Amino acid sequence: MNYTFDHIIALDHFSDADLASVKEAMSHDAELNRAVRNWVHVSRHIQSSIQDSYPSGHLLVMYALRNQLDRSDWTEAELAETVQSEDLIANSLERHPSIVRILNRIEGDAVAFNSAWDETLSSNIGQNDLKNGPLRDRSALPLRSGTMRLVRFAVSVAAVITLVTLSVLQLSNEPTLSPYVIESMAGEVRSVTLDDGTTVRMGPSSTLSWEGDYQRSVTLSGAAYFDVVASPQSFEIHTPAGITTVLGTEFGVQTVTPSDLSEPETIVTLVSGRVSLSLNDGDPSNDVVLTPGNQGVLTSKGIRVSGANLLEALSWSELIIFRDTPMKEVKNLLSKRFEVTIELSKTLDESLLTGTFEQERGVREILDIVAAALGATLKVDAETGVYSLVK
Amino acid sequence: MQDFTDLVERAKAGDEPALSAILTKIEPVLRSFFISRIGRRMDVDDLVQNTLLRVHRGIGDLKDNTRLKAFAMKGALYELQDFYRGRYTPKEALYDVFDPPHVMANDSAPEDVLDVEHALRSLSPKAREIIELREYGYKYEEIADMVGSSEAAIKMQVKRAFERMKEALLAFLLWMALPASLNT
Repeated sequence: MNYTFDHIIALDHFSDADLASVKEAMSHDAELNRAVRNWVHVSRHIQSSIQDSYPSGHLLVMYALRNQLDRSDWTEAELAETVQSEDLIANSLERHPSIVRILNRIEGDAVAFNSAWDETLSSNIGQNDLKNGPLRDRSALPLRSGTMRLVRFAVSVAAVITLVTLSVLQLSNEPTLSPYVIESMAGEVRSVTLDDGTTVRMGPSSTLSWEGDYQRSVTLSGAAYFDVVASPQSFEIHTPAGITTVLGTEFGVQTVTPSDLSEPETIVTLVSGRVSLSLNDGDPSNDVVLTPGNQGVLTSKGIRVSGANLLEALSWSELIIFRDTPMKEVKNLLSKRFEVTIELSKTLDESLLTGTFEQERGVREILDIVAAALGATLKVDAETGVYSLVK
Repeated sequence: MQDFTDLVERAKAGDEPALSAILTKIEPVLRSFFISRIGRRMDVDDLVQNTLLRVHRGIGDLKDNTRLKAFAMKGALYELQDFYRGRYTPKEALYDVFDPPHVMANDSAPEDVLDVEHALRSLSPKAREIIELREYGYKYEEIADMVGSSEAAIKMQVKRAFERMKEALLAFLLWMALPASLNT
């Protein structure tokens, strides 16, 4: 088998640096030069053929969903386009059987959308159950463009407006509400998104509750990892041993009642931002402000603060957390956690990684995100299963 | 299940908070959907935002106020197809940097010697289907899912396809090299 084809097949995963390497190799390898140029020619021909004879992506969507959606779901322009394009679609199907695969894929897309809709919106107002959704790995992602930030800001504002609107409606129609309770089962790690966008990853056998309207004040029993959306209104977590107050940050809270303790204690582990810890005695002189990487233990006797190994302290959350962690350490940890071999190019050894990953996503997807964040390329040896991050 | 009928009716009447509430509530749906289809990459952010913009701009066209789900789905699926069709465009532009081929100065340009249709006809229907789907914009792992195979098997098929096309190309080059009298 000719190795030059490997280069062409791997184009899916090539970074700009990889492409520059191929270009360099082409300058002294006539066979590679010929193969790549021929493939570029073939590729352009096929793309041109697709451009000319494939229906548009929108038309394929209309065709695939024609039996699933009501006539009222289409605009007049879409209906007209569908009628006019019947012959084009018939001819295309005959000339390119691959279109049938695309139509099937679109039908699968529709099924996936329905599932996402039902699962995300099946809960009551005030709670969005995101079994398949984020805790966002957002700290691993590059910053978006100005336009995107503006749109996101608009959505953030919308979240606040929604909260206010719902609060007014509920106050006027139902002045006294029962406590709202979210529970996770034994052995279950459950993620929920609150109305302000704050995400909570609840450890097994935990309970999150609040009285009446949700007002960024919750009571926790068990353990939960909070990714709190910043807001002028503070976010409070009430536990038997005290109150954790925050403006916007990521941290874990664990309430513990060991058999050898006469009273419960609350352990707060801070990943980023700042939180204030208060005892239930109401004495502000006992308050402690926690800084990232530290852990506070609240008991009726006081608050103890110490440094924390985030991964160990938050292991119950099944999250893998890096904060300015050298890639050498990231490699060692992921290798150990998933029992795989990971190789790192020398240029990445000292790179620092910040990100929060759900363990259940698996090593392949996590490395994929890490590669994207570092501008590196992930390669997987099909025979040995070795993962390589190259830059 | 949440009922959006009232919010949709108000949004269509120009109630901005109602429209904002709709966008806020469907944002996690879209994120969950796109992550399930293309993975957790920065592309998801763009697809979510573009779909929200579609809903924002097009909600006035919604004929049946109870059909927000279908309306949002249509927009999300349009965005997904646009994403696939444009996926390889930047990379294709990079191909141009490969020209001109310095070490091939005495060779003919491939356009002169490569009969693409001839090369493609040498492929099995399945191999041609895979190469078409790749050029449409799907990744090999997605194609594997579409045709019920594994990514490794798909890549192997593509390798074989290249081998066959290479053989077809060599035959064509040989034919071109023959004296004109023998070609007629």
